[in-house]
Amino acid sequence: MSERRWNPVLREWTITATHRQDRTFLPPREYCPLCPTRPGGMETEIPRPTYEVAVFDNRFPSLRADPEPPAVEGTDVTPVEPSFGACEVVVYTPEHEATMGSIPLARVRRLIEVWAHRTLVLGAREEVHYVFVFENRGEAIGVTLNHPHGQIYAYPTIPPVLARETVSAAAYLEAENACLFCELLAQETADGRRIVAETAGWVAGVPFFARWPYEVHLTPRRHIGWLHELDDGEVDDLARLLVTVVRKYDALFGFTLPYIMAVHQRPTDGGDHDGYHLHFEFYPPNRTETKLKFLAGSEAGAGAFINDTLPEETGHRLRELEPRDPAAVAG
Amino acid sequence: MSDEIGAGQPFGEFQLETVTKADGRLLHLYTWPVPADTGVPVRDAEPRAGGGDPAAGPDAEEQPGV
Repeated sequence: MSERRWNPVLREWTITATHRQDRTFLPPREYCPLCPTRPGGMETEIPRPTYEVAVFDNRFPSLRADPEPPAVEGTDVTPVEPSFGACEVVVYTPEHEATMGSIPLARVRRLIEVWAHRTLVLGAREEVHYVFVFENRGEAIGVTLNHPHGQIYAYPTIPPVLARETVSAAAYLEAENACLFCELLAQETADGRRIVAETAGWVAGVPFFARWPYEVHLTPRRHIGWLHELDDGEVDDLARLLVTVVRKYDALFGFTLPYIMAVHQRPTDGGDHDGYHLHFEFYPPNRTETKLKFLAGSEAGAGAFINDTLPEETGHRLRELEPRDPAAVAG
Repeated sequence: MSDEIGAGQPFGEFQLETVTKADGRLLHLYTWPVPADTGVPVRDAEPRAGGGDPAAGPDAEEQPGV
């Protein structure tokens, strides 16, 4: 059962998806549903002996093209809507033990192509107002399958964080006749203390206002809104920078660092979002090798993040880790 | 002015095969003229934990899903 319930206090939708309680939870490797289907083995989600990049409809979707009617009736104050949209799973590689940091650069580039294509396909659907590409990595984040994969949610509204960002970008464009993200990028590159790595087309850095100790944003230097607008060189640069950042993360504490990766593109609602600027955001939960940052009272109850570190120090620490030069990253 | 997502075209030279699964869900397989790497050798069927029959199929709670 899945539906959207309006919260008039926060002015946002909550999605209920009770069937997800029953989804597959950390199966042993031989039962991994994202591995290729081995001869004589169980049929996985991908019934082929191998594949390059595979995308499939989530078996336990929160949003779908043909949602069931809501379980309850709404009111004028608290409307209830069916959960229109889509939830897809993107499988990066047939290799069960791989990570974004270990798969070949050419494959990362192809993954970017797939993200761009899925955004176009899903974003063209009338009921889809936002296509959100993301990856949850690590059991600390709550992943239920360890095989390297990401997800795509196609929402019928612009989700709250993206809505705030697009409103801020539009307001800045109106007031300053400039892109807020371009201004931030210029400020960060001029300062330099929080920069983690750079290429000709992209910059990675810990944001000035980081919420998480090792939060990193990847921003294209050119003002574009969607992945499919990247040119060949920018796609290559993004692949190199993604691998660079993830390898740095894995070198930080000597283990595969959990993280959330969020791809922030322009909405697909047909509105005016010229001021919005494509970027990636990474949020690892670790604040030390053994301690996690929890969303506790101030963060969960008041929405006010408290960062236990200085972005200048975490930026410096990440910058000094290998690989230091994205151009030298081996494929 | 509005931004139309369909205004651009994706880069890349992929080929796309879409398969409808038995339960109606779609599977999209992306391939390229040249493999990105040597790929993974297809592993031989490995014995299941506990020595079960590899052809028996998973239990309900073991069905694929994310």
